[in-house]
Amino acid sequence: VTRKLRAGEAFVCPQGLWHRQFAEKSVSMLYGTPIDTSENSDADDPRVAAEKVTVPVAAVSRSIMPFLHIEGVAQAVEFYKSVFGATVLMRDEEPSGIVSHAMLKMGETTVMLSDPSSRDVKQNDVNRLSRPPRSYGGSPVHLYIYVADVDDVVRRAVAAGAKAIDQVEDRDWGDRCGGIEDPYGHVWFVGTPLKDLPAKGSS
Amino acid sequence: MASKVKSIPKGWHSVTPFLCVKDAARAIEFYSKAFGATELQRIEEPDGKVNHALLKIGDSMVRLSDDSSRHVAEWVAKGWSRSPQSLGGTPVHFYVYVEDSDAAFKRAIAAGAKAMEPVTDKEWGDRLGSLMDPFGHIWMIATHKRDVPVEEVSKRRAGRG
Repeated sequence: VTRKLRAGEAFVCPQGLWHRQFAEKSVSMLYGTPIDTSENSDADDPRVAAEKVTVPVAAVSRSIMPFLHIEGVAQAVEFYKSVFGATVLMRDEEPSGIVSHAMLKMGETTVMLSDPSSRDVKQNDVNRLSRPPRSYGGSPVHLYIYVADVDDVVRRAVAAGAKAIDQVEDRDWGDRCGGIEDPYGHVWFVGTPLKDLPAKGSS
Repeated sequence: MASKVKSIPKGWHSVTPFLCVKDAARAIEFYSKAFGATELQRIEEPDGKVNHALLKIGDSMVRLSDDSSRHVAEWVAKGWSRSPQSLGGTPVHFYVYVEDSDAAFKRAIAAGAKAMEPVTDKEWGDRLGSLMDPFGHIWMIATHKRDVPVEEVSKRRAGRG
């Protein structure tokens, strides 16, 4: 069954029914999910698969969007894709080949990357105030990211050049969690709720 | 694949920032006044320093810790965190959507933030202003006004200079 909605229209989907939605053009969609067991995924959304998305910022960013300053955004995009399963929403490449900005989606959070060596960032009053973490000798911001399998993600992060800074352990706040400093100097705590840990030996 | 998460705890997003600040107690006050943050949790050390606190800004959780708490001392010992004021800046900004960026910007300035860029309409459809809070963290305060496809924004940028 396909239902076509126009601007301002709403559709109530019965509980327990698998459904998906596609936008024909740039729209903001508002979702209300009244029950805890609902799962959202964009795994079969062709727009995401093609990494060519025309979703406006408001539709993709429902939370505070961290804006990370990184030397070498082009490589960082590959790192976050392979390690955190990020998808690329936007990638601005300058004629020099430098990627000035990239907008990534990690889970349902949008994260922006900004390269201080790009022309666009050098010209931007606010972005040019900041440099990558290592030029300060650290970062005053850590990012906590939920993933499906923390052990696997941390292992792959380290294999891809991150530094393990806090061992993966079961924590008293209910997550299994470990800390890494990524190859660009940003610090991430990676967590999986203990009750959702993949069964041992399954991977 | 790493991206499919079974159950993010209720009220949380995939990514949550943890901020290190000088004088966390005062920072909590500022974030409440300026951004309408709600304080959900505050763990204090015996001397009153904020070990860590949990705030909700809009629909996002934010954690923070005091620069001089024992919690941060442990981090610093491992070499991985201090406040923007001790580091001399920050490599991370925060982009926040609010109902009315003009009003929120004014409130933040009145509460002690420093304007970095006034509120203006941006080519990607947001009305946006940027500021540095009294603790050195940088915030971009936005209200979404109209939808612009991301390709169009990239094209306009590319054609600009």
